[in-house]
Amino acid sequence: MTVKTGFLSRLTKWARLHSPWVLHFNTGACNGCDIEILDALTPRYDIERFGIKLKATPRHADILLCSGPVNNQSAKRLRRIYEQMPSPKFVLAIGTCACSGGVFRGCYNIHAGVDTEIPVDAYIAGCPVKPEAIIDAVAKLIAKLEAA
Amino acid sequence: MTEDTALALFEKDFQKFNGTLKRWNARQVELTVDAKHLLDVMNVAITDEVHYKFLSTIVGVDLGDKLAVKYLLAHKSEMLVVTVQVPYDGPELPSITVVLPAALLYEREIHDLLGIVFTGHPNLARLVLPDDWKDGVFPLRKNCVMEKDDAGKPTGACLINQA
Amino acid sequence: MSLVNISVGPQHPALKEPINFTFTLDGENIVSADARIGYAHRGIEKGMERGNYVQGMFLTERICGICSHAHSMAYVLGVEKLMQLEVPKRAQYIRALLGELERLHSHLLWIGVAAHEVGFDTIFMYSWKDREVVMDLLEELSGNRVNYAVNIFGGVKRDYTKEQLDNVRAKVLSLKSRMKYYIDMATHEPSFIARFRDVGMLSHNKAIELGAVGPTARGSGVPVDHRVTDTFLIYDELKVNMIVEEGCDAMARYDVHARELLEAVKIIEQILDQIPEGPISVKYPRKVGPGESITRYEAPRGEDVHYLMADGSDKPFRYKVRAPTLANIPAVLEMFKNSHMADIPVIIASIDPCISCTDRAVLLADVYTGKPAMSWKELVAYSNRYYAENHGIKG
Repeated sequence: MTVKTGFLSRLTKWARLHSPWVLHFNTGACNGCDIEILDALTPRYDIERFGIKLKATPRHADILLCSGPVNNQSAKRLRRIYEQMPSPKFVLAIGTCACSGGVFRGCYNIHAGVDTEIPVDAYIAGCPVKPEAIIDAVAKLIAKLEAA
Repeated sequence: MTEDTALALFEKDFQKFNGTLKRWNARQVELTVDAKHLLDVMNVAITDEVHYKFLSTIVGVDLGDKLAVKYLLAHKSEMLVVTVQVPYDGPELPSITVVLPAALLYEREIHDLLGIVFTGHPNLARLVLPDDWKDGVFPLRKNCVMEKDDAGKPTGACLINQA
Repeated sequence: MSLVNISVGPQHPALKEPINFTFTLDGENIVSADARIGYAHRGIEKGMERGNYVQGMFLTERICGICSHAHSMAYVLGVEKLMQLEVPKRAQYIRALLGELERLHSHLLWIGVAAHEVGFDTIFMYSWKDREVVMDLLEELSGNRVNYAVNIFGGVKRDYTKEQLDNVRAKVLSLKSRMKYYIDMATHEPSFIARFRDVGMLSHNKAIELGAVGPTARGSGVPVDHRVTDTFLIYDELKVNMIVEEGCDAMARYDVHARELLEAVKIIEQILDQIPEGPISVKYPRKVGPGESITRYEAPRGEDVHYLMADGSDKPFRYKVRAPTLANIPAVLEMFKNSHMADIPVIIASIDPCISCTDRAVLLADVYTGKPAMSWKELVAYSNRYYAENHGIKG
């Protein structure tokens, strides 16, 4: 990412750091990680208090949360969604399956991880990941943005 | 309706289909019939006397030299398994959707994964496999192996093992 | 007016599951609908033939991340049938306990999702907050929030102390008043009723004909519940009431879910009252069969059918899974007919669809020093080294 110093770019960076909007896409997961992502939004974890908001459309999202080993059918959709997101964009691979394919590695129809299709910025291991881990990952990603 | 009376009706009716009955356990019975009698069997099974009106699912099995299709019909806790066998090349079966509409998706799935053509099915379009899946490759057949790239990693596709 | 086709999914604001529907619309009314699944097709059935029976257990648990215990139960029961194992009573009670806790969390989840789809996010947040109580219990009992891994052939892996079981009772009973509140909400809240009543009609006859299962069928007055009509585990020793509603609409399905919550609490109380002392597992053979077995398990979403063909080796010859949502898709396509387009999310949610390790987040660059990123290979090597050095596990 190129560093700009103009007022507008500083403003967008500030906004992005304080309120990153996330998009969730199930790339063939068992639903375990997907439910934990939703869990992170509900009162116990309440990720929204950090300004993190789940958006339903890729065109509004900064961070793409992918769960599940990518299969042949969802791979095309995944690429399309990634292309629709505005730059700069970040991808989190959520769960062991999204990292490496997990237990499904080597099954037909499986691509073994999100990074076979699109670049991934952070990997969260776990089957399923705990909501705390998702919050931790997003926080680390923000710290990375801040440093950039 | 207890199972015994339903089965008694079955036994009476299925003499003419040359079927063989095999009891798995107290509540599960398998009936093997010829494919040409499949629809007749289904028509009897869903009558009010026999009452196996609920189609739990359809299972397709590759037995190595031929394919078998098992229709799992249920009534309360009892289950009747109707098994038919089809040859490996050009497998074809009549669709039972006219009798049991619940079979719509199950038949499409088996068409996808085992390549059995159900004649009379309203829409045998692809259901579970990706759109760009190679025609004629049926992943649940035993001769189907995973394709590997040069590094030995699976590519996500299947190949037919000719050997 | 000419007919218009629109496509909804697999990634869509109103759809949380990766499924694609094609609707044919006449104005705002739906004429017909078709479904395309496969966005989560992972080839598990072929994968089952690859590994041995114990490895299969981990795969069946990951068929679904919401009702994972149901799938692993159906698998274990089917294999045990062919192994001819006599499972100790205490193990069966523990299995049923986890099954009912799972039903609680799944139904609370569903009530939240259904409320979210009608725009009532307060209930969504309330029910998911209550769900965390159940999730905590499951984590305490099994060590993981989802994918509990308590089953093993011949029994269960974990035994519980009296204090742990008392804690389950106290926590579950504390949820009772909340469940009554959800039932109350359905009968009194006008905005709820307006969005649910007469939406997604599925007549009694159609439900039977299309093979609907679980709460979808019970909401249309079809009495199917394997805990009552079948005998598996120890459900014949418990008093289980079947919840059936005659409304045939989304409201009836909501009622079924909400009332089943209370019923599940009653079942859990009975389990805790009756759980006997004793061993929790027996030894199991490595090879299975030859033979065939069919298991039907009442998952939160309905009948789960698993078919196993064993050939006497240590690997399954053929394994077939039919999850409840697949059985309900013909029913939901029927519900769409003559419905309003705006009701699509409510109808999809009303069938409770489910199309589908510990907390470590690893970032591939040091956040503080900005050192060069670690590649995936290095990361794997690092984790293998870490476990070899610290825990003596060879990766």
